[in-house]
Amino acid sequence: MHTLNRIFLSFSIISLSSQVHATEQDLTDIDFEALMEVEVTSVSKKNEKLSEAAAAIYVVTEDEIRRSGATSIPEALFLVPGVDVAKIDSNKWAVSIRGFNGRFANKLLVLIDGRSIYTPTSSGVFWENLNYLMSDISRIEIIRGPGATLWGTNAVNGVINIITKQATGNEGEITASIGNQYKALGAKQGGDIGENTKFRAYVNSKKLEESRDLSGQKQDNEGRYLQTGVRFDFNPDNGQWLTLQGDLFKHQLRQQFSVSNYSAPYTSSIESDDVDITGGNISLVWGMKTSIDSELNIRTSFDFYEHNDLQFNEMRDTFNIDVEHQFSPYADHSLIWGAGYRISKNDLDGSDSFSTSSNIETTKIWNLFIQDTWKVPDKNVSLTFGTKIEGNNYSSTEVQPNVRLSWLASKETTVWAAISRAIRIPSQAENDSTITIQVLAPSEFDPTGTPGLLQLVGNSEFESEELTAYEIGYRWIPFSSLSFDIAAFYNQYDNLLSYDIGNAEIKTVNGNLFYVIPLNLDNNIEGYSYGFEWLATWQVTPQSRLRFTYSYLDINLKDTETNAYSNTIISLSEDRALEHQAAIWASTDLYDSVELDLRVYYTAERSWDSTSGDQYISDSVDSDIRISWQATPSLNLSIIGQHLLHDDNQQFITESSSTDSLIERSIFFNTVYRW
Amino acid sequence: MFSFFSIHNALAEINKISSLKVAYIYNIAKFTKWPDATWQHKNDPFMLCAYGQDAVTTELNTLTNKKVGTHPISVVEVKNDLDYQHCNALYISTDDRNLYRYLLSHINLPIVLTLTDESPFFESGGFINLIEKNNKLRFQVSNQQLSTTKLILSSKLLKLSILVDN
Repeated sequence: MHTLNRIFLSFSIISLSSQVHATEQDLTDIDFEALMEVEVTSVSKKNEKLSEAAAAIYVVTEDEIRRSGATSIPEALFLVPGVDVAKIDSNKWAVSIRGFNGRFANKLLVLIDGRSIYTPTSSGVFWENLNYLMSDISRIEIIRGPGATLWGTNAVNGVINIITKQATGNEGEITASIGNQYKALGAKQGGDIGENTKFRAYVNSKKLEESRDLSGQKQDNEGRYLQTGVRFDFNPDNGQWLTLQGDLFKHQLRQQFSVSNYSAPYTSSIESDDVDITGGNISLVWGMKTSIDSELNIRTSFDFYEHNDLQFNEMRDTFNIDVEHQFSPYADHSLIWGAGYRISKNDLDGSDSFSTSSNIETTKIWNLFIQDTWKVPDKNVSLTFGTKIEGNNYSSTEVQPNVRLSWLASKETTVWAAISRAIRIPSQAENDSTITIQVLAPSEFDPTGTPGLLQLVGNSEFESEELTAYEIGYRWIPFSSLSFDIAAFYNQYDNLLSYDIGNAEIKTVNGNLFYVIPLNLDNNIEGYSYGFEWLATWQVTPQSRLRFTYSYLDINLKDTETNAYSNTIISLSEDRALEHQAAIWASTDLYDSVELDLRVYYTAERSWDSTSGDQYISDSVDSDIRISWQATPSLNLSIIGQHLLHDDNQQFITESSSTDSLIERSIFFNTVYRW
Repeated sequence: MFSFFSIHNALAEINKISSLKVAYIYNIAKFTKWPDATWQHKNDPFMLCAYGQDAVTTELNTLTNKKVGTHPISVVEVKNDLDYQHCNALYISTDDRNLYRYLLSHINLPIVLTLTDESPFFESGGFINLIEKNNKLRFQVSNQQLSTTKLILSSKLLKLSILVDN
């Protein structure tokens, strides 16, 4: 089911009839031929539908994906209001909503066709594993703020729902790109099997060039990607549907690691190594409509990946089943309820710097949810309330309720408000792992000359992180060519991850004696964040559109058990987040066959006050451009430039054990041939 | 550049697209012929049903009591399965393919004028689809789907349409 429907289950028939204004001019009296000459301009159908939802929601359409020139899903999310997308190096991304960004940002739920793709190892997402053909993506729905009641685990600060296209029969495409940073070749072909079944198969490969280190030297981190997949859609005439789809991928990347040295002189060094990633998934979805306003869906999926690099080798298998049923028990009420179970087994081999107490570990998560949307008759008010109960084998069972209110103040104006609670369950690493983050040379005052070791130590008592979110929003469509969407939030966090310094002990680690200083993971950080996101879309002429976005974010955290590392971990969230983000996106169609898109964007500074040295990236203004020419109905040529205003630029500060990178300006040509 | 004056000015020339779509729907209905047995009396209402998540559904109400032939239009907003049993025309706007197919499977297709709005599922059924083309509103007609019905579209209508044959 679509995000929109979930958020606002039955907004389809709003009783606006009473509000229809006397039309400025009665077009029905005009002759048909004359009608056909009327020029039309509208912000898009999308805005009309979104305007009533009681959540901060944004949909990246197929058009926007194409016109942005995005070559990957993180690139398609770039410049979406309130979303922070940063490229860490050639292959790695940091993506988050409303702060707390990182390589494995963990307060975000990411779904592909309803299949959650976060890994329980870190609670984050391996963005580099995804290598879909961008033209197969139908849309990406983004909810800022908690979506925990209806959506799955980790839907704390946001939900990203990637929806691929249904198989559409006998169509095909070849796409090729070549540029200084990016080369790609992909193809797809669809077809019919019998009367009611269609399929589509695709293959996509790409090569990403190395990024540079902070001194400008080429890093050893190129990436080669290969992914293939197939989708079958079976649509019999009896109101049921069945989708079977699966993907397989094999990526060969290089990566630079910062590696601790367990012998003299104990300084860390940069080492390069292969990162081998293989994986795949298969899912089966069955659904049926039992009446116009009721629907039943059952989704099962199996997912596996193997990730081998210098620090750990991991094989993970995940099975998931979800059932949901939506119906209308009484007039003006739309109810959705469901249940889900997820079991994920991990076989992990660590290294000198990363270990777990047992190799095999199984994560189990179950949930039950129910939510009702009541459209108060004749009031243009809609009230949504529901709750989810979620349990897992790491922490206690949690209740995640939400209440949402939407009021159509006028035909052009919607006001909404929501209060919700969401939790982020512990990851496997937080529950059970030991990670060496720094080797310290012996102190000159220590006569024994024993080196030190700083270790992050997992905590089997680690609890879920908690959020209570208060949100309000305002949407206004003063003219059909102009729309505004503003959302503001206040987030109250509790039980966030903290480091407690434990007592140093002398231990033998990797064959040598060390003073081991443990940083025990705990839940002592609490605080709040607030901010707002602002979007204005103006269809200046039928051919040209301007879009303005601005988002503001302020995070304030404190450690209730202050220690020497409190500031390090707080600064990682507070100072590394973007306080300001702004962008202007101008789109215009020159003639009928040429599309021109210019995007200019501002990102605020990021910093990190770390015990091992402070880091800082200054704010910057940069720009992307895309020019596309539809040469014939089947042939499209385009040129795309990304981050054009700088030769190279650092976009993100990595956590320890990774290395920082400068991302170079990227220019590439793309050819698409369709049949 | 950002003055509201220019926006108002632009709007004076460019009518709201939903109003335009309503006018299209009305005109298409006027130029369509239903089988003689469809209505018993010449004053029987023309049932214009609408299912949609957009402004068009709402604005269709402005057509109430206008006439298709001799029949005054009665607009029905489809909310449950019983609402669309007696439709003469059905306007559907949804991005839910399964709902779209469900709606089509429950009407008496040969005698219902089905109209869709920028439907990505046009090939799944229905025979008239409104689309925006070069900033003008146009409508597609599927001849193949039309030939399975008992409705006759006037030659004028067919001439203005974009024929698609799947």
